[in-house]
Amino acid sequence: MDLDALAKMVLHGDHIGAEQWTVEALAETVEPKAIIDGALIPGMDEVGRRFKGGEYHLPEVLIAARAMKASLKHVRPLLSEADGPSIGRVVIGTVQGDLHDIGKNLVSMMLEGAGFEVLDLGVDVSPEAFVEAAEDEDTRLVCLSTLLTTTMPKIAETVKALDAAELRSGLKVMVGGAPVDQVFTDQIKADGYATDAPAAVELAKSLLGVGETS
Amino acid sequence: MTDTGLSDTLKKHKAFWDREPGTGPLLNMASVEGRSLYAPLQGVSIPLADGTILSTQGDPLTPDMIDPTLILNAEEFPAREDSHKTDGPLTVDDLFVTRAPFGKIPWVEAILGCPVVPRLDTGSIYSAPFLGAVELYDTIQSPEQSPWLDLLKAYTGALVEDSGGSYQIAQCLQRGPTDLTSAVLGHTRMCLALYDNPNELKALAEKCTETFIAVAKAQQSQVPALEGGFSNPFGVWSPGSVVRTQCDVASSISSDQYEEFFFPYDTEICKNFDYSVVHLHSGYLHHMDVFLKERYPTAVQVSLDTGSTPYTVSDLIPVFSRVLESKPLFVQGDMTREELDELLGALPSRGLYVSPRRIFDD
Repeated sequence: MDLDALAKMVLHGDHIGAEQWTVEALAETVEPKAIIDGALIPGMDEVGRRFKGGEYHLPEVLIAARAMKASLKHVRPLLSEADGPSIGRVVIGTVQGDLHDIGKNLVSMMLEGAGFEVLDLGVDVSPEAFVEAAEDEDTRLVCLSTLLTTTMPKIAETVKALDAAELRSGLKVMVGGAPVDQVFTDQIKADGYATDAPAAVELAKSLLGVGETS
Repeated sequence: MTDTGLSDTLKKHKAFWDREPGTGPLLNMASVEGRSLYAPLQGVSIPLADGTILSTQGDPLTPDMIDPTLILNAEEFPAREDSHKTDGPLTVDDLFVTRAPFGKIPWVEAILGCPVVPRLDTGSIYSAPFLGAVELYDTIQSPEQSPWLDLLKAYTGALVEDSGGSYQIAQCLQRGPTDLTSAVLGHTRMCLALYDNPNELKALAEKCTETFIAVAKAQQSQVPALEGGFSNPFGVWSPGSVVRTQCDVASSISSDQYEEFFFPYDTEICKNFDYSVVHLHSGYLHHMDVFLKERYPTAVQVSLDTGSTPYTVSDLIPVFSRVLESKPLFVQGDMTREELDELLGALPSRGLYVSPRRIFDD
């Protein structure tokens, strides 16, 4: 079956078509990993490029991610040990006091689309909850999001809590959100910040030393 | 304020709206000089009707918990001491001192049915989405059924009494149809509805618009006119009714989507008032042309974003110039002294209002 067809379904947000294609492809013994590497990741990569270029906006990314997930839910249970682990486990959330989730969701979806395993803690997440999730030895990256200037101190507090739990040597911390900039990132000693979701994916790959996905 | 002083100020404000050649700009330096024209939103402990201070978070506020007079008296209002020492309306420079119903409460969202949830750790009060699906748009209550509207009217009445004509009373902070549909549905569901349920989404936007207009008119009907006109939250008087709307959520959708799904409703709001201002953010002006095509809104306001916004004041000057070719423009936000000078030097002065919130030295 033509993997490009599935990539296009993702690109155009056709979740019904993507699910149907995937079920049929798996029945015809298309390899699950081939579906991910040959269709879902390239499809979401193109979504990221179009978003960065201003051709796509949030709704288009959301429907694309929905299509990706409609396919992925059939593929993921069939992945074997031999297919290898994800390129990294990421813990992501909006910091305590902030209920905004769109930016965080966008980054979460694009990271998943790029092959990361994502644990999304949701919104209003306490420093303690981030620490608890980061204690899992597979966690390689923590992403902290906020939209409000009033909750920026909670980002700093969360970074300090990760420091205090002596977790920083094994993982990287990325921050993002409208009020965040490089100066703030340097002040709180985070490892990096990204201005948008595609940039966040690139930064995540760079921080974890992940090359271009094949 | 003397009658002559008042008359001159009103003339300047009318000239602003008319973009009269040789006039302007209106420059609001009050915030920079610590003489804010309006009560700030931050740092207020909220007294409740039962005599306690709001001290729990997470549980929704209800209208019966709020006594407008208690909040009015607790709110920091720089002009309070001056407000009873004058026979006429208070001004700072050439602008009117204004006050609005408590800005932390998301009034229209509450009237539509959103739970109103305080957060003490951030000093914010959120509205939570409540409509499980866009198809349920018809279940939204009419504004007259909401006790929050009764409270807003009581609040406006308390302001009218407290002011006694000394300061101007502006409309409460009202978000427009784009933001309101997102508030009642949740942002993700709103975005998906653009593709999955376009007709229902438009119907929901229409409901939100009707409520917005009802809320704005309910306030304006209580506020005494000043020489036949009213002041907006920026301290600018208009020779007729005035409304401010906003569409922050339009930042995350395309210009075409905004124009098809929400602009007709923002226009409907503006048509119901003589003068209108749409609030935008400098980081997200990709839909600016939509606002410049038609008569409505009659003015544009841009708040300068900080943080990760990619645009500097220099980048924005061409956009601002385009706005000023057809409409008055309010620019508000943090800026350096150089940026303020750049704005004032590069832009035509007629129809221009600039309000630095803070000025940085570098």
